[in-house]
Amino acid sequence: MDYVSYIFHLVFVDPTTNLLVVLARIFGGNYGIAIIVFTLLMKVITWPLTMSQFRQSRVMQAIQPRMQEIQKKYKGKDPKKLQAEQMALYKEAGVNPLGCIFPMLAQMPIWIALYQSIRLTLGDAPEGLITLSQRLYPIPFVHSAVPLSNQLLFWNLGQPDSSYLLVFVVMASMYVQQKMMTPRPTVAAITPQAQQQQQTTQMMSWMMPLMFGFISLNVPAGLALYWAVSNLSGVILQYLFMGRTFDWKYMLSLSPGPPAPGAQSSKARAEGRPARLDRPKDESAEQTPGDGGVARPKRGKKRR
Amino acid sequence: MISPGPASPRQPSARVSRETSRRRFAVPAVAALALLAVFAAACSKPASPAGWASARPVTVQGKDVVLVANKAHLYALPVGSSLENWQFPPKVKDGYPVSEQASAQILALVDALPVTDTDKTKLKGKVADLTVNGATISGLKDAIDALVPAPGGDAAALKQQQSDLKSTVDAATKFEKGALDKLQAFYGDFGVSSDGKTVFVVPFRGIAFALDIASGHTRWVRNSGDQVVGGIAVDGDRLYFGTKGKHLFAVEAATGKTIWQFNTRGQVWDTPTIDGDTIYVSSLDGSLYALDKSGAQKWVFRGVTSGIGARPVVSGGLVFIGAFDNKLYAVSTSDGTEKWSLKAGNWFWATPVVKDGVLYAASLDGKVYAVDAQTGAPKWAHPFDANSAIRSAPAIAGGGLVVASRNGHIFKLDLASGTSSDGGTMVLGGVEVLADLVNKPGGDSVYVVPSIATLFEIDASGTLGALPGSTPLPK
Repeated sequence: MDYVSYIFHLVFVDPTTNLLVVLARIFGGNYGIAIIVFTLLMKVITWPLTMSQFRQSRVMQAIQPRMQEIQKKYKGKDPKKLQAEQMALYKEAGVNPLGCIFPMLAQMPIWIALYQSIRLTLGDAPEGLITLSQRLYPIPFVHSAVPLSNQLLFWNLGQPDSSYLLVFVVMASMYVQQKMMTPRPTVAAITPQAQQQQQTTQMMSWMMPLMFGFISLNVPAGLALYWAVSNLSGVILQYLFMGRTFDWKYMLSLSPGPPAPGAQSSKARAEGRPARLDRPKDESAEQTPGDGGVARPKRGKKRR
Repeated sequence: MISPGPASPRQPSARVSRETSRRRFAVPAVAALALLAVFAAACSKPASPAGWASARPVTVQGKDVVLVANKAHLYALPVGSSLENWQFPPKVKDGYPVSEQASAQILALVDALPVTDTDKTKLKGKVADLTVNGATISGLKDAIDALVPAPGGDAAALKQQQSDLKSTVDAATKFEKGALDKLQAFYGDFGVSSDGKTVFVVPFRGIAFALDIASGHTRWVRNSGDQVVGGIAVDGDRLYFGTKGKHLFAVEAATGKTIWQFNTRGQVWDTPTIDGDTIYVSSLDGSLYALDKSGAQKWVFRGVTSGIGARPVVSGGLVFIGAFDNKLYAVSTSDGTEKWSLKAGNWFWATPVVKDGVLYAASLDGKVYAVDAQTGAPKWAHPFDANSAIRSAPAIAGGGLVVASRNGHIFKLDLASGTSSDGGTMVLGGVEVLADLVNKPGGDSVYVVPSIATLFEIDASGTLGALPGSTPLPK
């Protein structure tokens, strides 16, 4: 275990600590700005992952109509065939159902390293400084940066956020990001599977922010600042690169969400009336390819 | 007869399908929660301050006693004994008297009451028994409520005074009980009054206490308002200590009242050093300040490019100060100009030692350096390498330099060559040593305060023995 810890410190914690100290030195000893710049740097480094996540999210959204068709076709008849068809569709679209987990998985070592670094650099205990001295690279520029100021506005970045403002920002920004990332249902409650899927994704969209909010209450505010900046920049990038999917009604909805254009609810189908539309038809047409093929997202910044 | 209806052929497959779907979407949910759980486990709470105050040998009523701290506890131990004279804070606060100062303040209010002398005497008896917590507080307040005016006394005035007196009792006991609950750790040096009857301590939380060295009872309590890492320097009837709030305080030793305060640009983490009429104090702002005893700045040395956490040492017209920029500086005491500096591989935090014109300084790079105090020229062929960071100030004992590294290794070095002879090393297994080494009066032994609740006594008269003398601290 010591060996694992040593490797983890060598690969993640020490570089993170030294980078933060260098950034703090560059920005006049302000550790808060160092964390913000560090977060943006991490965004740049994990950009390929983020883009992959955005693309997968768009493709997932685009294949929803076909997914619903498959579910309708095999509903209650042949679960194995249903699963095989779904997997084939995922494969054809080039998405992985667990794809959204990977970017989070990739960031876990960074979070832990950042936590350890903040603990080292801004810890309350004077003993921490001695440990820090052993972790800094033998570069005079780095050593001269100590001590670091743990203040950013009214936050003590080495202590949990007592104002709860950062905690709120972390939760709100993560909720928005989750909502933007979650495929909007195209047909409301057409099958039990679809209902189950919608409920699960909906549960995740509020459970994750709650979990991160709870963790933010207990970790140094510096880490909550990282999450807040990371989420907010993620929301902005998602808005820029995924197109006009920022729908306030959907964002604020705690229900599984309104059906996308062209969708017909089970109740509406039973009554033989069209489903409620809340998007222009042309948008729906673009999202649901007429030829029944997989809708591939357009690259670049094109907005609809 | 009721017969079961035909089973829907769709039901089993629908259930299977639902379960398949549930499994598929449960995976990411469980994975996300598992990741968060791992993260939460990895992010355990930061280590609490534990302290690195060194031992302080004192004489109490003709007997040798060692004051030693471990985390939030301070013990007065007769030499070689684990049966403490007292411990602070006390095990049971209900029996711990309020400070002499608070008691005197309450007694002054009692004296001013318009009641009979008999009632005053009874009330004073209850004040004498007043403790920081427990039934004595309500007992005193009940006695105050029961007071009646003396013949011809002003009943309305008495009512007001009774109210004021009870408020004073409440405020004093609440503050002192709270202060005892908030010690957390001891880092800096303990100050002892010139008459040897009072010890001054300021724990990490920044509340200073003057304690009766014989009983451990409080004489006065003062809140500095900020955390304190350094210790208290005593100079006659004055005390000096710095805080993380960027202040150096000069306070009255008898009362704890502030005489003056000097504002630094950064936090003060060391114990001030007093030499003649000058107070030297360093700061994490990278400055070494020289002040006169009125609090006026004589000069300031700002040649350091990082913070300073080490205590200054004065010798031969120079003040030596180690810094976090990996350098130790020699500065003129007259005008604060730099004379020379010594470069190491890591910070200088240990207080250096000067003996016979040679400066011995240990660094967090694990090396011990010996240089000419006036010129900075090396005295050893090469520095001694302890292979572990050194924060503890070395001590000269038994004709050698005794050094403790962070990983619990104790070395006795030859003063002339800096080498460790056979038997010159002792290992205190499984402990961390950060506290300064302190000479035991009248011998060649050195006190070592490790991270565990034990006081070690190292006999350095010859080669270091296999085992140190150890005194477990009371539980």
